[in-house]
Amino acid sequence: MKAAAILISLVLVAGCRLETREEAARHAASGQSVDIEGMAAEALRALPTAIAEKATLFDPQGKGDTVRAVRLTGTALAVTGGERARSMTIDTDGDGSADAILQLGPVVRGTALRDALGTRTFNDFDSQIDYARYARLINDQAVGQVRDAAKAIAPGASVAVIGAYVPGGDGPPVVTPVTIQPAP
Amino acid sequence: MIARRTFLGMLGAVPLVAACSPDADSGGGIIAIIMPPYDNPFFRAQAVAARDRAVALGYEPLMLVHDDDASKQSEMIDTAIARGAKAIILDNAGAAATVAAVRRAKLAGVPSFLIDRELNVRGVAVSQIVSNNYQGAQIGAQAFVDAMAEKGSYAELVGREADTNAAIRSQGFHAIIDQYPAMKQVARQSANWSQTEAYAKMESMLQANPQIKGVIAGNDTMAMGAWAALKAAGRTDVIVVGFDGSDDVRQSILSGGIRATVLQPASLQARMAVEQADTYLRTGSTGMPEKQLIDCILIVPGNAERLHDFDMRA
Repeated sequence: MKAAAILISLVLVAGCRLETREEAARHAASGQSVDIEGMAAEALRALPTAIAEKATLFDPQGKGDTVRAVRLTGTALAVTGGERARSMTIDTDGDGSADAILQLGPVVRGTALRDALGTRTFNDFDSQIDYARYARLINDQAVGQVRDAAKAIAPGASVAVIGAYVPGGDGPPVVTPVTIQPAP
Repeated sequence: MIARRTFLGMLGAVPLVAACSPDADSGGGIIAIIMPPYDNPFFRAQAVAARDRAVALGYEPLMLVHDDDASKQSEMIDTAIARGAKAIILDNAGAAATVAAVRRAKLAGVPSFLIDRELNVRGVAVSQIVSNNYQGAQIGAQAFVDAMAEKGSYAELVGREADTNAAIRSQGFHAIIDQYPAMKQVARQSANWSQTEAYAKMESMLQANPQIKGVIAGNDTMAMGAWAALKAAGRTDVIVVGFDGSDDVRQSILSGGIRATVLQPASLQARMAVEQADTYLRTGSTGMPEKQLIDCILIVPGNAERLHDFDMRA
């Protein structure tokens, strides 16, 4: 009986030590937690140049599920959407129909800018929530910075855009812009 | 006590073990495959895919079920270590509670390969292969908004709070739905991934909000529970969208019930985890980053026929 009690207390003590060490290890591991705002700020500084350098000419027929950096010029057709998610349709081939849809936010969907930039991968983050938050900070600020430029573009005007998108399937692709400028 | 709980956990795995009859002479050694309960077909599909791949690569699978109980999971990891397992394939019982156990296995020389649910730290597991829940939730939410014609009252059923995937899916849903001012969320409740709980929650949400036009659910078992409650209430007009890509929901989609779901390629992830374990055991490296995201696929009537056991057939 006494031996059993000693055994139990030994096990308990051993158990305690083990947990303490592991708690410490876990805290040390989570101490390496990433600075998401800092990483997003760094991404935003690099973004306009990096996307412009990677950009290829827009192909309205393009298909696939891989993100692309893109450069497109065309005629602004219309700005639509409510207060939360405005978008501008663009005709790139002169047939009068929309070939691309520019997201103007404030709510921006997808992770095209993060993925086209590609400087940070999922492996740089502790969780999907952090990785998504990083994408969202990039979206909010990058699109926020072009919104005023977009307001200056009237329907019918020529526009030059650099951004990123995933071609996907049906319908005009949704492009997340990093620069919007009037075109000659 | 420990022995009995482990035994009980293994009981749930009996049909799987009986079906596989691993080659006792295989030189590969034991791979422990530790999963949440098989009553959710998602976890069963993962277990089957991992087991089959392990057998094909010459390992002896040790099938264990932790029942979403972190202390049971901890005992099972100890069992795997004591049995001399070469590797552990794990869909964990909660990120925070799992780190210590996986670290203990690592210190004992048993590498872990996680699927489905991630840990919130790096450097403890060798691989963490998870669905791109944020991307998947966004495509599911877009299908939901389209089916709702961009307007109306809706309810959200959320998964288990302790599970990272519950939060990330909800964030993904709202990243899309909140873009549409005419979409009004009138109720939001957790049904803990459970079909029976979702049935009860749906009943009460429907009574409080009879104007509900749509329900978006964080997984397919909750979508099935909600759909059953809606059917019982004669409200099959309500639009339901799920997440997982189960065969049950596929059947419902094909018969005009649930509108859409999002396939998490569960079987693919389970196979990848076993293959990476094998590569790691043979070469000392998987050749892959620890954290890996696998994109999800929208399942609608047009492609639902191809969905079987959480895999898209050609």
